[in-house]
Amino acid sequence: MGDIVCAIRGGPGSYQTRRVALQRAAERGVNVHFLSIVDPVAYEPLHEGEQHAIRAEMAWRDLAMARSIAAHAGLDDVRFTVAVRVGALADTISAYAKEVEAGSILIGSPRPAADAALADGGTEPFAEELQQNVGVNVFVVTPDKPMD
Amino acid sequence: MDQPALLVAQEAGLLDSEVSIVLLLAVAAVVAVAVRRIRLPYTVALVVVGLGLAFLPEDAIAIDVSADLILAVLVPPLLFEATLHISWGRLRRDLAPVLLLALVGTLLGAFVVGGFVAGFVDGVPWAAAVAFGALISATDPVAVIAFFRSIGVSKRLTILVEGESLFNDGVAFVVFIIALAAAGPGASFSVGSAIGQFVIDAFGGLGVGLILGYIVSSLILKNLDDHLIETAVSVALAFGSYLLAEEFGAIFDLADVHLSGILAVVAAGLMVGNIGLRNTSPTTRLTLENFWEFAAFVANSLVFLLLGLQIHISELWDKAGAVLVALAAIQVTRLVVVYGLGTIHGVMQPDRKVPRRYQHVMFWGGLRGAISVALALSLVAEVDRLGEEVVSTLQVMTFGVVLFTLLVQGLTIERLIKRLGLAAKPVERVEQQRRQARIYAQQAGLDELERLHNQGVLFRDLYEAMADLYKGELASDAEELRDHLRRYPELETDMYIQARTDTLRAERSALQDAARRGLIAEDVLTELSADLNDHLAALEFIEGDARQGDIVQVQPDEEADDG
Repeated sequence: MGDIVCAIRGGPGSYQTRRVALQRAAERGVNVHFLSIVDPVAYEPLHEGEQHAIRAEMAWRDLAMARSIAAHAGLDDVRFTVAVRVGALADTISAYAKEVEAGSILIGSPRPAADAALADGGTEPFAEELQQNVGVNVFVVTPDKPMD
Repeated sequence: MDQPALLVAQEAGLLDSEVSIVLLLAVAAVVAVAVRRIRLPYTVALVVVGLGLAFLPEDAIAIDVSADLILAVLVPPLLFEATLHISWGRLRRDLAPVLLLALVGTLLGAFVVGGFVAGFVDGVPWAAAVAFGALISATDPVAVIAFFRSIGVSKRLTILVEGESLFNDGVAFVVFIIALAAAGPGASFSVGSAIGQFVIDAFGGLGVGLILGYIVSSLILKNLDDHLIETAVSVALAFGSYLLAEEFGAIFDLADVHLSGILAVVAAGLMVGNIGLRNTSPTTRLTLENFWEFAAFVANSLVFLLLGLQIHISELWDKAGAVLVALAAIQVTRLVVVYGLGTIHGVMQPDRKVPRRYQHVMFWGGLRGAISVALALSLVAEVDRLGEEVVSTLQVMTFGVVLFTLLVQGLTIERLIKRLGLAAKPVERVEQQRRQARIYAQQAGLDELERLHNQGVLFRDLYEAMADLYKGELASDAEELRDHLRRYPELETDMYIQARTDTLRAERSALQDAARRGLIAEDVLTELSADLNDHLAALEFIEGDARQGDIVQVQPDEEADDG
């Protein structure tokens, strides 16, 4: 059973997604790799100092939020890493999941489960594409169905 | 020694103007204080007060409202300040819809409104009607942006509204000048030369602003570290770029060449905001921002008060038909421009489509203000060519439209934004801030109590009794905040961003303090401050990026925020 890759963008569903990733990791005894993805369209025109600062601040945020959530939920024993990558969403998640040999991928969605949760038999094209590319299960965490 | 009579008269005129300006600034200050108590946009309140001032005796406020005063003195600070805060990175992402609205929308507006006016308002020739169409197409975001900030609308919507306004000011001005040149007896017009003139005006103006802005930002602001000199240089840049563009033909002996001063100021401001301010010390940055905020406040106040002073209610009533035609024309045109061009842009760039709800705000938030008024007031120089009646009609129509958009649209836009669900400060976020603020205030009270006790002015029993009460309240409020966050866990991310921003600012202040005390050298301060500024900018970027949503996106048309 491989580690969990939890891909986040910091949107309204990211708290829930991080929490579910930590819980599932605790249940299965695996690690979590939090992956933040930066949109290259906005990132690439910036100068090097700003680009470096964005990557550093994203890593800081992900570490702080993961530690805080783990502490709230009593999941301090779960081991996790954070990574920040720049690129297109699907390609970046696929490449990173292969790099860490992930056993599953968790992504967040602001939409209700009825039209987004692949795990519940929904048809989310993005998650399906990801699942086909990487060959591991992709789970969509939604506000109304956080899968716990 | 006696002074010559002419000099005495000039000094008296100067003193009268000075007294008038002091009076207007005093009125503006009173209005600014009053609007803090009554929820009314500042510009709306200024126009209403200005209308009241029009009833004062004629010589009570002795300011000669000339085209030069408005365009060369009051407009540059308004535009320069507005551009200082526009991030090129954000603007670049939405440059296509912004330019589509500013360029095609303004041209369309000028001709469609012009057609309405020429067709339905007696006595206004075609070219003068197009000039009116151009001046009234310049949108003014001041009142709307103030609402955006107070209710937390997304940065993308803000940049769309601000970007359109900045560029359409320049385009409107160029079309206005070309149309005016074609108006009046004996004037000639050809489409080819008008297009040529438009291109030279617009791109020449932008070029002047970009070059001067680059020189000032890269050579002066970067290498000099003196907040007073740098502020003075920015003033010279704002007014100088306007004057150099406007007087380009005269300076370089090219009689037929005119460049857009407005676009020159916009380009120069973008350069300083995006390159210059990044290369200055924190002190200079703060000084520059404060100075330009003040300059824009003064210019905006004077423009709107002068607008109120120029309007005579009786004239509005006499020309009510013309005003109604103008109002109908601008609403129909705005409808076509926002929704029509919005749809075309959606086809061109489906991944950056402007959500329909944004378009509703852009339609109703298309207020007219300072630039339209400034251009209308500048028509006083055209009385000989156009005739007093035509100039008066165009001015009254402008004032009527500006008044309507400010009073009706300006006062209802906030409700529309909230109804569309675009206010990013929902009830739970406001409640979180309220609870945090209570804790912050109580902690300050407790610290003060401890200080009084340590200084020996509060004896122990009373100190302990009061401290216990404070600690009890603090514990209770902290528990309430925890409960609130348990109900709305997503708020913790906002809290993180806020806390991280505060800590980085504290680090920056500590560095400045260390430099003041001579503990670190100025170049070390500059280097480390630049790094902290990058991190603060990064947090802003992250906040905007987070607003794009989660990994699985909702469709652009459904999404409230795409910061």
